[in-house]
Amino acid sequence: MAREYDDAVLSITARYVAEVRAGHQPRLSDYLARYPQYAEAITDFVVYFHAVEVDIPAATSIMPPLSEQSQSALDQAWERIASSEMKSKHTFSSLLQLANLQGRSLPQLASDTGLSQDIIHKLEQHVIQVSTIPYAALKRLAQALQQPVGTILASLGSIDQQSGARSIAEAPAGYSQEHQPGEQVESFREAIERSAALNSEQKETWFAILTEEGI
Amino acid sequence: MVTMLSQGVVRTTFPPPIRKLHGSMEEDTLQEGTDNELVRRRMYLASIYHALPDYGSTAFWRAIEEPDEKAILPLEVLVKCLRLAITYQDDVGRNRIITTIIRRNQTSNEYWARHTLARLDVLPDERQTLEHDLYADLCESLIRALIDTKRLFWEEHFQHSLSFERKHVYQTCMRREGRWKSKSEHDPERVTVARRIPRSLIESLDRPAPRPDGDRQETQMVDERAQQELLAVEHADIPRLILHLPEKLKAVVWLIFWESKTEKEAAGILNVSDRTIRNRLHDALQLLRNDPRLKKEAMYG
Repeated sequence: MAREYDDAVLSITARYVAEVRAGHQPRLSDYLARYPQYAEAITDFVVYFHAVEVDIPAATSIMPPLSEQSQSALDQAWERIASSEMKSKHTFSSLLQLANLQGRSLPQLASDTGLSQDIIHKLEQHVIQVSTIPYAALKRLAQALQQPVGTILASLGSIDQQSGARSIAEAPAGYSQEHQPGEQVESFREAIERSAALNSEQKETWFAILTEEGI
Repeated sequence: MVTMLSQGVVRTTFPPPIRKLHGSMEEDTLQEGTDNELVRRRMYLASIYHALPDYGSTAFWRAIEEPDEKAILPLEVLVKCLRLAITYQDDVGRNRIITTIIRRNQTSNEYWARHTLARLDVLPDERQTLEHDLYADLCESLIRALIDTKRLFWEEHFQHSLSFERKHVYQTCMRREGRWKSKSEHDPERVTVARRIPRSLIESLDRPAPRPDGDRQETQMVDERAQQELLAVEHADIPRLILHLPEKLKAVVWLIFWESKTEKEAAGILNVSDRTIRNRLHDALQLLRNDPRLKKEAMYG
């Protein structure tokens, strides 16, 4: 939604700028009347454009070597990006947060993975032992959420922070989980058996996968 | 839209054009013309992209990094190539293209960093540091935008996307430095940007602010006088004058002082009451009146 909003504002203001560059004198009032839903964002850009951008030279067709100032700014930018990437590797999102990032709802995620909503909910709550989850399920989640399996494992609260970037090929062993006293934890197989949302055919499919993976 | 998935593979789908809520037949024609132009531009960019040598070849890098001045690649195509490098997980190639894009824009970006801070009232050393930080912020923001493959607008309108990114970076920097008014910030002391404004305007603006429940006539007189003085400001200076005002106040000042609309017309355009317009105008004038830099200019001219 935010992306659509931004794209709409970009398109509208691009038209405004094109009119200015073509020597016309577009009126902000016309744009506000036509696009009242974007009024503030359009005003914000138009004022900034006339205050700052209108006199700035465009990109050149020649390629000078990087100036000292540009090189220094670029180096600093890369350092910051590398630093934030390091931090993000150690920041774990929940399954539903990851789904949100992809614009997927809980039912969509359940449908994409062949799991039911109640199973996804249990995974989200960390009440399924991660070591009992078949790799096929992790892989489906990873594909649906466009994330590495390591990130999915992390979202399930299964790996320590230092091994956050584990390889997809790594065996899902050595997990650790912390649970609150009294919290009922079950295996993936038990969760499948108890699921009220999965039909018998779906359950059979998962049992076959579990057997195949020796779980 | 034309989405170049990889070399030799083009998907052509067009998003629905943004439609206005109110419009005439003339505006429909204008919209149609704009859409046609956009389609032509996308096809043009796609044709250049497809004509490029194979990714990673010597000829490819020559086209990217050593362009003939007459056949220089549009920046939009460079963005497509950069995203192709990301698809191929070629980090080295990705960084080479990013550096190329920074080089192509460095004159413009360096000018922008200098220009935007030129009117800031800071010591020379502080200005240099601030300028460097601002430029580094822009580089960071630019890289993040370029590697975000969902931001397709960069592949079609690089220059406009860059302007938008610079606006965002500038506002973020000014907020961080406590020099930007946001909707929730109504502390006039936070606006500290110097602007050249006639002394007579400052004297007028410097009169005591009217009491909220005070004599309405007096309030109107003070505001009307301030408005008259604001009308005397160099027209080209108005955007810089109101740049740091909250968005809602900006629109009112712009419509009245840049486009010479009446309060009633402004109310109609913004779909608010005349009273709201007067209140916003009053708030805007008060913010300008309390600007410490303006007071300084009023004292020393």
